[in-house]
Amino acid sequence: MSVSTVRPAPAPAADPAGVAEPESRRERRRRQRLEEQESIIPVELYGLRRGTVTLVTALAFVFAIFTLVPIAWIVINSTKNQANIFETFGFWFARPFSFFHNFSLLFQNVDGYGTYIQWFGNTALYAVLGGVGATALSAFAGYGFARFSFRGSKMLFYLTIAALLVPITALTLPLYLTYAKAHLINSLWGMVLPSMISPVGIYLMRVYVDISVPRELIDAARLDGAGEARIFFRVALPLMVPGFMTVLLISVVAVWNNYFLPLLIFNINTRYPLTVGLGLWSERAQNSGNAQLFPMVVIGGLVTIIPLIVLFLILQRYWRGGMLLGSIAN
Amino acid sequence: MAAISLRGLTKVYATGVVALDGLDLDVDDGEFVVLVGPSGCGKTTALRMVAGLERITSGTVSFGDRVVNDVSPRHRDVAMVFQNYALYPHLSVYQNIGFALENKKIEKAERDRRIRSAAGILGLTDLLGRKPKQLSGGQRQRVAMGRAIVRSPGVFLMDEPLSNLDAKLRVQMRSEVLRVHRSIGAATLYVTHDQTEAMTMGDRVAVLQGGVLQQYGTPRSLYASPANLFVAHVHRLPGDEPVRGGPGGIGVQADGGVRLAATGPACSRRGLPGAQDRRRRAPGRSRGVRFRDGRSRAGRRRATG
Repeated sequence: MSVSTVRPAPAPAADPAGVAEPESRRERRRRQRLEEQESIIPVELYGLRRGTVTLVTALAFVFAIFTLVPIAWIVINSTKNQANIFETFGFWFARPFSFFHNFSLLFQNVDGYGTYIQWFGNTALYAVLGGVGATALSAFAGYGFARFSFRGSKMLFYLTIAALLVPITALTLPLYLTYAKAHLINSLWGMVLPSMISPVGIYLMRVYVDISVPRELIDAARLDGAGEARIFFRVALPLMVPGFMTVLLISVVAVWNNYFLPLLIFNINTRYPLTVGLGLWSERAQNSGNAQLFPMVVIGGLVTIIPLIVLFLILQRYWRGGMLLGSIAN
Repeated sequence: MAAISLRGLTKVYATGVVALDGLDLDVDDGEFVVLVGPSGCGKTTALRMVAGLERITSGTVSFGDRVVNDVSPRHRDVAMVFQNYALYPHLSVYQNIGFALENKKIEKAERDRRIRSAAGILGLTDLLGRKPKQLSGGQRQRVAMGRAIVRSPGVFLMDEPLSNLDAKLRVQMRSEVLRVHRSIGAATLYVTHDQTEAMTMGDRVAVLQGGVLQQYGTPRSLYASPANLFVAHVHRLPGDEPVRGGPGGIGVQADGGVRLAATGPACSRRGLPGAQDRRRRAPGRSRGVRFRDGRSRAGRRRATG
């Protein structure tokens, strides 16, 4: 039998989108939108009554409002001056429009207790180092737990999970004493190293590797003569990207929002991250009569959450799975 | 010197299950050997041990005169086609085929030449830029073969490579696989549960059941003188109906002069040459059937088969 009789013209079933010519971005968006519409199933087909659906939707709506109201408040009040924050209606704007003035205060050391922009830089540094480190370690560990069995592997994994159950508050004293001995107080590494350990990340990566990196693929790569490191970086990692990005987001957010650890280990305000710095300002504004700090706390809070929103928007495109399609026969 | 020789190859799982029990097998240079048997008979386990993907409980695997029991899969110079193809989904056809060469650090121009030559043999030249998900089942299957042959391996292993194809394509790919085999000439071990594949493709066929080798020989010898009832079943054609034995049961003269007897529906008419009623020859299959005691039966092949 010759090859030409075996080869079918580019299989129509496997190739509905006309892969031969790569579709443009706009075409792809349009196709995805149509596919989405296609997949919406009327509620009757789920066996739900209209009334039930309305009720559930209303409850979800109320909850959404509840969640979003603080964000609306902080956006609105970041445009007010100190007096208006207290004297005008909280959910509407008031003159004068002080947003830019407030914003400029973030670059100044107003009361001698620290500059917002410096804390912002600190937080970014801690979050990048800690978050990226945590993600890398989680990927290594998760892959290891998912695809290698070695003596004690189960025990180690359970131990990792058990670490989730210990609240960090319970570790305050031993942690502080250890840090003091290890000269990690006021040290960058004191903040970054613990942030790189993420039991949740390890657990997530393990589960993700289990479903997205088939053992056969690893076997095939071994027979193809690839070393283990190469298998990890060239074969496994590209398939782990959506899980990797999820863990990256979770870890960065966790370090960004971490309050307790930096509060414990930093006592120099130039080392503070945003959480501790804003906490300090807030405390001084309320208790020490530094009321001019209130607008700065408000706009500082707003600026703090913006990078996380941006990060989420950047990373969300990686959530689309489907990487594995076609690797193995259906 | 056989290209692949297995001696007393045994696999016992921690649960105590014996997957493979003392398999002895030789595959000569350029030979195409088929391991056939029902699921769970140990054929895939045997293949994975040859590849180095499974730990060997006892026995040896040798390539030429070198025992490779302790050689890692990446150093065994073995190429394997997996049942599910196991293509790298994020790499193009070109990169899939070239991955092994990349690992060997073969320089780019030479790599390109070999990838294109392998693609040419398999008719993949126009598909080199595609990702696996943009290919049909038959095309994926051929990429999997391309990935294996591009390295000109000494040993070629295939684990049910055709089982995911539709019936028509499967028949076409049989001759395709043989053609590729002849063009590279590596000793090939091919695992399947499909009797027709085994009997039509193998230079020699090894029949396994319950982890034990039942018979090893050319399709013709298996057909003409099955060692036992089970082997006789292997060349039973699809569509045969089992028949009940008469009051005296069904007998077949087996290797070494043992007379095996069986009763009940397990026996297929065509699967048992000369069974049931010797004088009435086995329908459809009796041509050339020769029992070890030297008696032969003449008969005409039925038009049905």
